[in-house]
Amino acid sequence: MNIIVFVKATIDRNAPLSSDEIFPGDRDDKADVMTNNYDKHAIEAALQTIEKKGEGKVTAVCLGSDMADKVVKEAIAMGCQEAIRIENSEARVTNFFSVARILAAAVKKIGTYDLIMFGMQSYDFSTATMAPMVSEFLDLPTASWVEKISLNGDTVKVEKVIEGGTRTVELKLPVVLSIASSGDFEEPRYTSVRRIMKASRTKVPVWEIDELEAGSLDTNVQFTQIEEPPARMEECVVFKDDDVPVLVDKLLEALKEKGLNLGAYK
Amino acid sequence: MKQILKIFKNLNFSKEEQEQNQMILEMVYDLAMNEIIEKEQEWDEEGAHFDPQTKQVSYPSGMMELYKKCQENDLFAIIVPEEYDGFGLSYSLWTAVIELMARASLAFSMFFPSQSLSIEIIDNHGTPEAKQKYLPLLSSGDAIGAMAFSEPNAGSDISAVATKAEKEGDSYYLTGNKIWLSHGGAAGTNITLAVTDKSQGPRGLSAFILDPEIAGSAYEVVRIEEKMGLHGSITSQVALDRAEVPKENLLGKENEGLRLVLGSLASSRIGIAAQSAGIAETALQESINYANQRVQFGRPIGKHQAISFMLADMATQVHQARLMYLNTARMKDNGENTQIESSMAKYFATEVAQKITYEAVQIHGGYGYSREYRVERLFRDARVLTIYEGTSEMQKTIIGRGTLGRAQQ
Repeated sequence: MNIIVFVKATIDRNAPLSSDEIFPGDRDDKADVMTNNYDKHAIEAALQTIEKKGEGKVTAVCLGSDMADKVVKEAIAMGCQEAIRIENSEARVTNFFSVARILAAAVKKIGTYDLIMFGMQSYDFSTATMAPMVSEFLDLPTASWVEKISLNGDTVKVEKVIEGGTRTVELKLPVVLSIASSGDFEEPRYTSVRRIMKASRTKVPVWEIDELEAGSLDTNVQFTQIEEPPARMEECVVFKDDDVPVLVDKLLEALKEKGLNLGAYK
Repeated sequence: MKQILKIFKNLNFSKEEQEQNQMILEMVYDLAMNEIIEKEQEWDEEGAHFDPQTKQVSYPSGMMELYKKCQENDLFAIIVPEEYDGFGLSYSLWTAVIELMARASLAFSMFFPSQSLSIEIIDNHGTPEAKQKYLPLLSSGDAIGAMAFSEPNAGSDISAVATKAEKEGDSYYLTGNKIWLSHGGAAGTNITLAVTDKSQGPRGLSAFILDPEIAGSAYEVVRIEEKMGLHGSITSQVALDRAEVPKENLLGKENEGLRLVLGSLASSRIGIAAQSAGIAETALQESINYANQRVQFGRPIGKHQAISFMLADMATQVHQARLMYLNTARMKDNGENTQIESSMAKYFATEVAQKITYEAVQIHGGYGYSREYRVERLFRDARVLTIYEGTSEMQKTIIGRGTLGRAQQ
């Protein structure tokens, strides 16, 4: 069983926001870079899958500059057997479509795979498009926001989150999955000192974008401006009345005015 | 966290070590700040347990689950030499781990300084048999390490220990009372002091590894203390009634126990300084958050100079405390004798923790006095720091002696 997990280097949520430094490759301080939180659930899913199967290998792949070294090392420190970084110095390729082409080309170069996993979205841009795009480029079936995985011969049955519930689908391997941050993979494991020591001694191979047959990488998205959303000011209203039914009516009236869907209380 | 990493960048570690340190500290930070801190209030309210019928002690709910996570993440193996299933990493890293744990919960962080002191004493002074047996257990965390020195009449004056050890055949049999035992009753190893030659006074004390499994019912928890703070941590009184200690568990030579113990305490004091920096950092963080959010006289109180100057002093003092313990730990890594510097770090950092937790309550005003707010707990928990592992007065005695010794002709 070979599993490829894609991990993304994102800017640390605690790092100061700057519109000139929206990609990890723009930053000088490595401490400002962290693994996309959602990708840790994908690593957890991959590790659980091979543990259940009793055999297999998980390879973590990351597109990024050397700032992303710590992200691939962290993947190994969580338990991935191998890792590859695709060099993207100075954030050369950033538009999602081209990134998906590069990732699909990397999968082809790796050659053998049964499952390809992504986090359900990225922490920074949250487009949640990478898994479907890569599956399209590779012509493979895909399922998004997967909470449970069970392998059965050459098929895999997954439970995926849909609005108001879950849907079970069965797909033929190999497949591309995006993993939800709920369900079986809700709590990604920690790194451990033992695996950190191993990770720090592992030399992670670096691939060049030009070596991959990714096709055209023309930019079709441009960031013109990035800004912080304005702070929202809400006033706290206190309802006072000794009579509870009156109090409830007042509250409902106020909620209606706000345009909230009150369901049966209309 | 950034402050710690910044200091680490300037310590003399190789590039590979820097990377390891950072990854380990980030993992510990996640564990401490995502899970341990969540439980801290419940542990304080529930406290540790003692069943007088069965004489069993237990930690508050959920604490051992998180202890297990520390085991799974190999945290206790950090400073254990590689030949005993450890990683042989630096004391600087270890003390920074203690700081991060203490930021989340001082009670939980109590597992760490006594573990490393046990490891260090056994590694330096244990017989080959004892090392083979106990170091792997302490390294995995399967055994919790405890110190059983204090007695009703032996506190700061540790040489006044009265517990006697009688040698019969291949074993010693210990009889006496030990108090203020952190983890007493739950620990797998207890490093202890007992009289082997009464006529020699302080030079007639020997140090032992007291293994409750070997001692059996001769090692009995009498009660656990109801404390001002640190409710989640077990502090026991233990009665020893001819508790057996095999001769392989003698530490160093017979009658040389006092020197051995006093010499070893220097390193654990760095750990207490780290705990102090941790709890002070949390008090500072809570104060900063509150000062930004609490509005009085039309603006956040942090914009009033009275409060911002308090925060400035607090931040400076936490930084000083952190520099002192990390610098002392690094000296120790490099093989220097840190007897005086350890006492300085312990004295300074623990006193700073008093001041900062006090100011944190002050900044929170009435809310700071309420149990609903974390700073009330921090204030109570921090109080013990200037007392255990050598009071501030004992530290000053040590520092004073060292200072007089610097006289120049």
